[in-house]
Amino acid sequence: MLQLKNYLFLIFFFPALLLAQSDITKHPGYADFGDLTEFEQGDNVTEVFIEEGLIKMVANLSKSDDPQLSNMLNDLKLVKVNIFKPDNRAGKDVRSRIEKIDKELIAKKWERIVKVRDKNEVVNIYVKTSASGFEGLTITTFDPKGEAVFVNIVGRIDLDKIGKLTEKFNIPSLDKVNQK
Amino acid sequence: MKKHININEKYFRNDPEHFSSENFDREEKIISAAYGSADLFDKIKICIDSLFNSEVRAVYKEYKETAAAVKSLPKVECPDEVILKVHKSIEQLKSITAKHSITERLFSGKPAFASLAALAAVIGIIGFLIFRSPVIEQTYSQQEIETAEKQLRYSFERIGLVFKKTRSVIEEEVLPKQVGQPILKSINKLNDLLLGG
Repeated sequence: MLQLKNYLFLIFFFPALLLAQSDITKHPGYADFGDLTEFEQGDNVTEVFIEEGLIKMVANLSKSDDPQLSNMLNDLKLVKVNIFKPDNRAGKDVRSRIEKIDKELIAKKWERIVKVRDKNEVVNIYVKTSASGFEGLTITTFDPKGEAVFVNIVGRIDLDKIGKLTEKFNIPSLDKVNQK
Repeated sequence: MKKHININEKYFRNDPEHFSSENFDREEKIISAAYGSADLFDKIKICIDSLFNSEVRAVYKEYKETAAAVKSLPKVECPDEVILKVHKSIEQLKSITAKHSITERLFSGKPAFASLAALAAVIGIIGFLIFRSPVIEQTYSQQEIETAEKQLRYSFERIGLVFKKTRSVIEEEVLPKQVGQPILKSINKLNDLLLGG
């Protein structure tokens, strides 16, 4: 009887649990950049936000033409990219935003694999690891003379697969990064 | 205090086939009617039965007399120790009931609660399927998919550029100037020291 009660309890709360899990912002590989629209002024703005459903469609479509890409995309849940060229006044705010994101990600046990401070240029690359591998990749860069780039890829990321796509997408090999 | 009479034996002494739960129920109803605790419908039914059935009438009368005798008994004050025991038992029962979890309260012994919970579960599942299905089976136009593919390729290109730039900064700026030069300087100093010594 007690087991039956437990089953009923599970059935009652199961939909709520599933709904809670479907929220991408709860995924450990998700990185919150906050509101970047205040910096995204002018024409030099690129914003990409592609969720799991559409990524899977692209993966299915490119299965025959580009199986490597399809294979890699299948495990992804979100691709989020913000690229913009901040004006001189906003440069300082962008840097402080990058520092804020850095603190938050480190607090959430993200692993910072690259941190470059060259003059005023900043490059930070983070990975979120779990027992099964990488669950998220985040990149924040800022070049005062150029652009600010914010990238977050959520999902199971196989660096070997990305490495194989290096030539195709002009991505340098990541084989030097230790995969856990 | 209710006196039990073996009505079955009285009624159906010669008809053992009638020893059924129906007869036991009827006996209970006769007793309840006699003691005045039966509902109105049962009371009327027993009264009508007793009019047409002498056996029922006799049993009903006997129980009614017993009930009247019981009611006529003088009231005796309950001993304190019994009252204390009853209070203690009530307190114990309260504490046990308070320990029960929400789930047990929801699902134990209350058919109304169980039905409500089951109904809520069904509504929840149906609601979940209705609201979730568009997300899973969202359809995109060919153009949207092609645009998404271009955007994904562009995103990976940009990631590639970041890695490429980072590598060139590390290889051309950081390693030679900030790591290589101090090491070379240290080696030169060490050489000077060794050669000088």
